[in-house]
Amino acid sequence: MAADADDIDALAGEYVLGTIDEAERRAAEARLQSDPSFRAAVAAWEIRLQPLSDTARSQPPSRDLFAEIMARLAQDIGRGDGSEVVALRRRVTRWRYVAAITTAAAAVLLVVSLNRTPAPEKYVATLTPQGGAPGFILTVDTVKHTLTVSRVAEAAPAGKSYELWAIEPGAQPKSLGVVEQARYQRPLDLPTNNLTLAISLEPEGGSPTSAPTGPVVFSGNLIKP
Amino acid sequence: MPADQSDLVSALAAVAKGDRLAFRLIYQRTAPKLMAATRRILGSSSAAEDAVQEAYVRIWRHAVDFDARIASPIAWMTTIARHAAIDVVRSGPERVSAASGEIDADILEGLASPADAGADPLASARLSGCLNGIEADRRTMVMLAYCNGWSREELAKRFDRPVATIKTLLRRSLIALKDCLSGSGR
Repeated sequence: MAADADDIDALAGEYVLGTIDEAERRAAEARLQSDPSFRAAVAAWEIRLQPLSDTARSQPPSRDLFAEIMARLAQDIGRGDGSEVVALRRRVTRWRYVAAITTAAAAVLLVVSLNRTPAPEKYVATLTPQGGAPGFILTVDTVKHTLTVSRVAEAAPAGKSYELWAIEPGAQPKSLGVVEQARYQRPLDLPTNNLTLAISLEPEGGSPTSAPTGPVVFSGNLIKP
Repeated sequence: MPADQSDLVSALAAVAKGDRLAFRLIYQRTAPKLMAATRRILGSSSAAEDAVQEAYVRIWRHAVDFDARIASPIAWMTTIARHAAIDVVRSGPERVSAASGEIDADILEGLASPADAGADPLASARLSGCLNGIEADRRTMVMLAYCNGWSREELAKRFDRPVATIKTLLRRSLIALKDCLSGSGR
């Protein structure tokens, strides 16, 4: 018993270290999908050794890696529902091993997923200070007419509030309310074409007028990624 | 798991369902750390950036495999990034002659007193103590493998031992570390 457990732990440890060769790694990755005890052993090694990685000095990437990553993933994402079915199939595979659910149940799951309604149209805006790191990320769902606001920047300074504005071409900014939470959703009934979104820094509770009174700290355009 | 990882857990769950915003949040939170781990293996920032790019592609594709009941998000992502860096290294020439084969003293010092805000000081101290408890050459092997991505073959050259012996020594050291960290100390 103990010897078996040590074998699993030794292999899992070497897998995490990265010292096993390519063929062994491929075998280990297959085993990760099928063997819950191996999966747990690997996760435990990742956690045990993580402090060694924490000693390396953090360093932001110098180029816009995220754009490169999204460009590489464009095909995956373009597949929309397809990739979700792949993901679900993988999960189903795992359930077969872990919980030994029946093939019939798995089939039902796949059918349910194939009957899902198509993905809604999504628009995204990243609000940045001029040339700086993103402060807010906004997504618009044009089917549900919702806007999801995610604050990445620090919260507004004490005594101040962030207020979100939508600016249609040639129109006055329209307030979409004060940002109260780090992430929230609100209805949006504006055309998504050429919409500019901006965050201004206002007195606590928001602009006392119907227009921005403070500086615009983050802004960006809504795009269809 | 440090408390501030709970948002990474929920973000990874969202990424598994194809949520790009969550993916961006994960990237912003973790890219500097993954850069750090891959840079140490690859020795240059631009090579590290290529490996980190590959790592996030894998993170997106494998987010569905992340199991929050047993795994830590940052440790899971670090493994993916380190493996991406090791793939780059393995496809290049052997590095034993070019590298000193010594462990940077900063790593052990850093482990004893972590500066990284995300690091768990207690876990660092325990790992430091247990690493110091194994014989110096074996400790160096484990650390060259983990921190610098050395293969068994590279370690065999550096320590002038057969590859099979290196495998045995690595595995014994790992089991000793595990026992020490779990406090069973057999």
